[in-house]
Amino acid sequence: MATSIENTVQVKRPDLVVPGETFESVTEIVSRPMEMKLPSWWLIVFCVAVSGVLLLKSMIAYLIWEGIGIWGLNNPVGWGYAIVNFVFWVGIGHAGTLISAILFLFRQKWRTAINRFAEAMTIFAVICAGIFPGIHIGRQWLAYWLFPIPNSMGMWPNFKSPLLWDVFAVSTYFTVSLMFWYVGLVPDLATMRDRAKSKVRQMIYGVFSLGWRGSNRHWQNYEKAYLLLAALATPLVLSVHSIVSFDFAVSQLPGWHTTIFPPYFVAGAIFSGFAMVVTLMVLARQLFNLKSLVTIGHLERMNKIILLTGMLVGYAYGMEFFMAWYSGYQYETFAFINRASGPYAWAYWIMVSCNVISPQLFWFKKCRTSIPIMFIISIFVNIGMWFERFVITVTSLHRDFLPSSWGYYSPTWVDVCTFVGSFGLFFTLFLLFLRFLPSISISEIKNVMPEADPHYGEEH
Amino acid sequence: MKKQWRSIEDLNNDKRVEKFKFREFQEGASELNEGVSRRDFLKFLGSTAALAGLSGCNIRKPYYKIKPYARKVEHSVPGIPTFYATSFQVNSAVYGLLAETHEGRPTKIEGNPTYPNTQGSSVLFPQSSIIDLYDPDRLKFPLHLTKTGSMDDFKDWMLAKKRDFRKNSGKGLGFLLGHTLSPSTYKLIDSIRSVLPQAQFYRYEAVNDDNRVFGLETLTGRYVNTKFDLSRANVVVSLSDDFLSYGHHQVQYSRDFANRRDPDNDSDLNRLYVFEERYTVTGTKADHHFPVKQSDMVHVLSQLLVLISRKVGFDLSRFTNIKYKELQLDFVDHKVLSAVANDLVSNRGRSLVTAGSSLDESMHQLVFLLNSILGNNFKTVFYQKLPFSNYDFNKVRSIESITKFISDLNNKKLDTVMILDGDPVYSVPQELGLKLALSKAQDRIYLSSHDNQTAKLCNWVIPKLHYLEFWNDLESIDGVVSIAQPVIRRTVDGLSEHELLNLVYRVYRSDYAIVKKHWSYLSSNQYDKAIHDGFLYTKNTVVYPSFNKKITVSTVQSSSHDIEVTLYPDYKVFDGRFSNNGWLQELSDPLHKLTWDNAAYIAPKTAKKLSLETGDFVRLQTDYASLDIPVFISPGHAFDSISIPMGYGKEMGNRIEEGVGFNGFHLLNKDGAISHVTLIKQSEKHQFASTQDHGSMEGRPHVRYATVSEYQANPEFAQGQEEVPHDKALWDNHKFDTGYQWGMVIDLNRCLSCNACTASCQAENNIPIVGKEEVLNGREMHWNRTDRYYEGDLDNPKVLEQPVSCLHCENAPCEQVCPVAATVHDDEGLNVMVYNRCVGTRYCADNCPVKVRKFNFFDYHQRHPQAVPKKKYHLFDYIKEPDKSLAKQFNPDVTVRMRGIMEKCTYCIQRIKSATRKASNEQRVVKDVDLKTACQQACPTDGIAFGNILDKDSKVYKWRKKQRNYSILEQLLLGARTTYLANVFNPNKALVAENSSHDKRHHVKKESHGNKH
Repeated sequence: MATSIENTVQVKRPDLVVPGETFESVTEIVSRPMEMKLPSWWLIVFCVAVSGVLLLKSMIAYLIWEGIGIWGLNNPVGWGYAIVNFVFWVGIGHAGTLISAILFLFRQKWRTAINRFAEAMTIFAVICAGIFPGIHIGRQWLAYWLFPIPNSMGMWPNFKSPLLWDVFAVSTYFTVSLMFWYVGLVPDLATMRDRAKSKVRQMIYGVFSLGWRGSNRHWQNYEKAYLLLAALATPLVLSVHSIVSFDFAVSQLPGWHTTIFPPYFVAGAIFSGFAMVVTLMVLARQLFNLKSLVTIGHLERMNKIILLTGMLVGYAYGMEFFMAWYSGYQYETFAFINRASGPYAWAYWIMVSCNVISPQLFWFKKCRTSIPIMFIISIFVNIGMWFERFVITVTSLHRDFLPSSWGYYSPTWVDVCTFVGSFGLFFTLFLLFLRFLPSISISEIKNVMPEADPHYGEEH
Repeated sequence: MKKQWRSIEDLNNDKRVEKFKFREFQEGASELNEGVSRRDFLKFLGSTAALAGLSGCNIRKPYYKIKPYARKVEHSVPGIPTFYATSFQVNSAVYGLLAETHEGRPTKIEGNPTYPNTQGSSVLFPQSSIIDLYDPDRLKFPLHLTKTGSMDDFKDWMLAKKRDFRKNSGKGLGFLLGHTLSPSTYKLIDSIRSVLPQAQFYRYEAVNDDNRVFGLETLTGRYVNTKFDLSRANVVVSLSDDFLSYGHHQVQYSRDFANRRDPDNDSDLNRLYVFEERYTVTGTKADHHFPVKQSDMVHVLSQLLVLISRKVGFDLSRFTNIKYKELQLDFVDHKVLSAVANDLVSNRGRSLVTAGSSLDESMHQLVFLLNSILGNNFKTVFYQKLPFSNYDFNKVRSIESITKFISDLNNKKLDTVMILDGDPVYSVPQELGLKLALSKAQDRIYLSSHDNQTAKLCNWVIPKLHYLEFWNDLESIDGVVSIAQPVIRRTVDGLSEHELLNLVYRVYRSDYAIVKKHWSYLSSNQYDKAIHDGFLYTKNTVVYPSFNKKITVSTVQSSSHDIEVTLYPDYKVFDGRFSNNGWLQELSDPLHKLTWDNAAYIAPKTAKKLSLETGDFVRLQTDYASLDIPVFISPGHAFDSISIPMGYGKEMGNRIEEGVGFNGFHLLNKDGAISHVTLIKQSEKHQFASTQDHGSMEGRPHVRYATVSEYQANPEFAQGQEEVPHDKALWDNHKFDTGYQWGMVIDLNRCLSCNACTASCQAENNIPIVGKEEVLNGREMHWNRTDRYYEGDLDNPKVLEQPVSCLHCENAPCEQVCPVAATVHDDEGLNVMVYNRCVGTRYCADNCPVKVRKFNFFDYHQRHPQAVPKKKYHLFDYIKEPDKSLAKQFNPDVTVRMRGIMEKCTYCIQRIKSATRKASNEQRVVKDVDLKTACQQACPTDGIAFGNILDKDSKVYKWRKKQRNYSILEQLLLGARTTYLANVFNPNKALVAENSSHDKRHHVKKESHGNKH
C-alpha cells in the first residue's frame, strides 16, 4: 500500500480512512443516510426536535405579546438568558469555520471527515444565536433599527456601540459560513443528483448543484473559490468572537471590562465548538455507521484540541483573578471574589469543574479514544461553557459599583423554555441536514484517500 | 410627540368625551399588550408566522380628539399651567400649597412660597395627595344601606331627620369628629348647639399629641402647642421624638435644622442626640443615636434631669419626686448621660429637649421642667395657645372622648351619629367595642372618601370630597389662617364636612357660601388676596406658661426585658388615611426600604435571641387581642422592643390597599396603649418587597463624611478618596463651556431621606407604579431613589443616606453603548433619552454605574391594579388601558412611556425648556429663580441645588465650588453633572471614642489617597 523509496525511512501517517474503503464504498457510505428507508429513531427524534421548535415559537410569541417582563431580568441584571444563549450558540458556531478554513489552509487533511459536519453545525448554531439578540430587545418589532438602513431622517445607528459591531460581525460570519458550506457542497450535490432515483430529488439536487459536471474547469474554479473563501473566513474565526466579547469588554462594568476577553472568548468558542462537534459526531457515526470515515483518530485529534483550548480557558480564568488582584482596583477585585464566593459561586464552580477539570482526562490516551468518556466530557464542556457565559453576564451585573443597587437574578420558566426551544431548532435543522445532505464531504474524503494519489498502485 | 390634553368637558365626565377614539400615531411604533386570555393566546400562536412581518403592520396607538374651546377660558393658555393656592390638612398639620392645573385639571402639588410655614417646600403627603383626587376607588355616590343612593335622597332624608332633631332639641344626636382645624366648622358647631343644645360632640384621632398637650395642661393649666426654634438651638436632645417627620412644623423644623447643619455657614453646627426605640428619620440625622426602649426613656430623662440640676445647682426635689439612680442600659450609661448633660448645660438657653408624643404625660412635664432649668423655654422652645381649645370635646383626650362616645352608644344615649372623619372602626382599639356599639344607634351617617370598615356599618355613607374639590378654611396650630380654594369641579357626588354639618340644622348651603359667610367681614379685596396668597394672616398666639406644681412620676421601675411593642404612624400611609394611594404604597420606607408592606421591626440581637429571621411570622399576643405579623430585622432598633407602623392591613378591598400589610391597631388596649405582649414564633414566612437588599457600603466611598474637627483639619476630606486615572480618551471630550450647562448638587448634610423628592418626581414625570410582585422582581420605576447604608456596629449602626438619580455624566457610559443612538447628549450637558428611538436593548442600563436607568418591562400603566378593560379592541391593540380618571393626573408635558423602552431622570427637561423659552422670549437668561426641578422644589431642606453651572451667581455654581463637593465614582471619568456635598457630623468629643470606628477608616483613606487628586 504505502510506497517506500529506497534508502529512506518513511514515517507512516495514520490512516485518514479505514483501509479497505474504496471510492465507491465511500460514496455508498455517505449516501446511505439519504437513500435508506427513513429510520424510526430519526422520526422520533425529529418529532421531539420539532416540538422544541414549537416551544421556541410559542415562547417568542408570548414574549412579543406580553413584554420582556416575562423573563427574569431586573434592574441590576438587564441581560440574562437571552444574551447567555446568544454567546453560547455563537461560540458553538465557531468550530465550523475553524475546521473548514484554518485547518484547510494549514493542510490538515484529517479535517475532511468532519468539516461538512462542523460547518453545518456552525450555520445552525448561528441561526439559533441570531434569534436571541432580535428578541431580547424591548420592542422586537423595531429590531431592524439596528441595521444601517438609509432613511429620510438621516438617522443612523450608533457606530460606537459594540452591539452594532455585533450585528455586522455575526451577519458577516453567517453569510461567509453559508457560502463556504454551500460551495463545498456543490460537487456532492451533483453526486446526489446523479444517484437520485426520483424525479423530485433529481430536480432539487440538480438545481442546487448548479450544473456541476466534474469537468477539469469546474474543479479548477471550485478549488480556487474554496481557497479564497477559506482565506476570507479565516479572519472571521477570530473576529466574530472577539467582537462578541467587545459587548462586554467595551463596557465599564467590573468583570466585563477586561482586555483579555477577545482571545479568551475565541479560545472558549473553539473549545465549546469542538465539544459540540464531538457530541454530535459520536452520535452520528454510530447511528449512520460512518465509523470507517470518521475514525477514532479523528476524534482523538479533536479531543486534543479540546484539551488545549480547555487549558487556554483555564489560564484565562486564572489570569482574570490575577489581574483583579494585581490591578489593585477594588471594584474589579470585588467582582472576582464575588464570582467565586458570592451568591453565584455555584455557577462559577460548575463552570470551573466542567471547563478546566474535566478535559484534563484527555491527557490519557485511553480517555481520548474512549467513546463513552469523550461523549460525557464533551457534554460537560458544553454545560461548562454555557455557565461561563452565565457567570460573565450575570455575576458581573448583579453586584456592581453601588451596593444599594445589588440584586439577584433567577430565570423564569419562559427563559428556560426558550433555551430548550433553541435546542429544538438546532436539532431539527441538524436532523434535516443528516437526512437530506451528505454529512461528510464525499469529494474531499476521496481526495485524501491513497487512491487519489496519481501514482497509486505504481511500482518503483 | 405632540402634547395632548383633555378638555374641561372631560373633567365633567361629559358623555361625548367618553367616546374617545383611537388613532394611529406612527406606523410600526407600537406594541402588543398584556392581559392575554388563553384563547387569545392560542389564536395568536396560530399566527406566529405572521409575527416576523409585524413591524410592517399597522399597530394601533390610542388617540384622542383634541377639542378647542368654543369660548376661551379666561387666563387659560392651552399648554401653560396655572397655579392656584390652597391648603391641605393632614391630622394636625396644615400645608400651604400650590396646585398646578393644566386646562382645569390639577396634575401636581407644590409648596406655596408665600405660606409662612412651608415656604415653597412640601413634603410627602401633599406631593402624593394629587393621585388621591383621581383614585377610581373613591365613593362616587352616597351609599344608603350599602346600595348606591343619590344625594337628593339623602337631602330629603335629612330634611325629615332635621324635624326630629328640632323636636327633641338634638337629644340623641352625636357627632364624631377628627382633628378639626376649620374655623367654619367650629362656627357650624356653635350654630348647631344653639339650635340643638342637646347634640353631643366627640373626637377621635389615632395619631395625636394628647400626651404633650394634656401633660402640659395638667402642669400649667394652659392648652398649648409646643414649637421649637431649631435655628437657635445648638444642642438638641430628642427622646423618641421624630420631629423631622411628622406634624405641622415638619417643613419648618426640617429647614431650620438643615440650616444649622451647614459647616460652611458662620454659625456653629448644631448637635443632635437621639434616644429612641427605633431608628427614625430624625434618628438618622443624629450625631449620637442611642437605642432605648420606650419604657426606659423615663430613666434617661430623670437621670439627665438629676445630673443637670446638680450641675446648675437647682433643687429638683421641690418640683419632682425623681431620685438619682445609677443607670445601666444597653447603650446609655453614666458617661453618656453626663456628656449629654454637660453639653446641655454649657448651651443653656441655646439647647432644647423634646419628647415624642407617644411618651406619657409625666415625661412631657419633665421635659418642660428640664427646658425651664436650662433656660430654653421662650428662647428655643415656645408655647402657643392651641386654637379651638375652648371647645369641650377638645378638652378631653381623644381616647377618653371615643370611650365616652362608645359608652353613650351602649347606654342608648345616642340614636343618630354622624362620623365626619377617619375610619374609626378600623383604628379605634377593638377592646372598646365600637363595632358593636355603633349598631345600637338607629341612624349612622358617615362622611368618607372610600368604602371601608366603618362604611359597612353605616346606613348613609356620603362621599367625602378631596381637598382640591371644596372650599375650606383652616387655622393651623401655630396660628396661620388660610382659606383653601378648590381647583376642580367635584368629581364625585359628595359633600364637604361643612355642607354636611350645615344640613343638620338648616337648608343646604354650598361650601362656598358657608366659608364666604364666615369670612364676610373681609372686604372682597382682602378675601381675594387671601385666596390668591393662600393664607390670610398669622395670629400671634405665643403664651408664657409656668407652673408651681410638683411633677409626680409613677414608680420608676428598673429596666425589664419584657417585649415592648410600639405603634407609630407610618412614613407613607400615616394612620391609614393614605393607604389606597399607590404612589405611597410603592415608595420605599425611608429606613427599611420596604414597599407595599409594614412589619414588626426588631433589633438583630433580639431576633437572634428569639431565633427569628426577616420574614418569619410571629404572633403578638396580649391579654385581649393577638396579631400575626412578620418581623423585619432593623439594625439600630432597641433591644426587646418591637415597633409596628400603623395604617396597614385594611380589610375592605379597595384595589390598592387590599391585602397590604398588617393592622397594628389590633393590639391597642382600651387605653389606646399596648401592654403585656407575648411573642410566639409562627412557622409561616412572608416575603417583603424591599428596594434595597444590601445595607453595607462595602468600604466604598460613595457617601463621604467626616466630623467637624476632621473637616476643619482637612476641608478637602471628600476629595481623593478614589484614585482617578488620567483621561486617555481616544477623542477629545466635548467642552461644554458655553450657553446653559445644567448641573445639580445634593447636600448630603441636608438630606433627611424623607422621600418627598421621589414622590414629586413620580407626579411630575408620569412614573407608573409596578406593584409588589414587580418590586420583588427588582423592577420599580422610580427615577430617583435614596440609598441607605448602615455602617459600624450592627446593634447601633450609623445610617448614611444618599439620593441617587441620573448623574447626567458628560462622558456618559450609557451613550457609548446604545446601538440605535437613543440616548445622546445635548449641548446643554443633558444626557437625553429619545423614547421614540429606543428599542430596549438595556445595554445602557447594564453600563450605567449607578443603575438609575429604569426599563419598562411591561406596560405598567395597563398593569396598574386600577386599570380597566378597554371598551373596544383590535387584534394588535391594547386590551387594557389606564383608568380614565388616573390618566387625568398625567403631566401633559411629559411623554407617557410605553412597554419595552428605557427611561430615567431628565433633570425635568420639560421645566428647563419652559423656563428657557420664557427667558428667551423676555430676552434674558435663565436664573435660579426661574427654574426648579420637581425634586428640588419638594425638598423641605433645600438640599438640592440645580441650575446653570457656568452662571457664577447660581447656587449650583457656588455649591460645586465648595470643598465638600465630590462626585461618586469619579475614577470612571464620568464627568458627572450631579455631585454631592459630603456629610459633616458634629459628634461630642467626650463620646467620640465610642463611635470612632468609621473615623479610623477615614484617616487611613486620607493617608493613602490624600494627595492624588
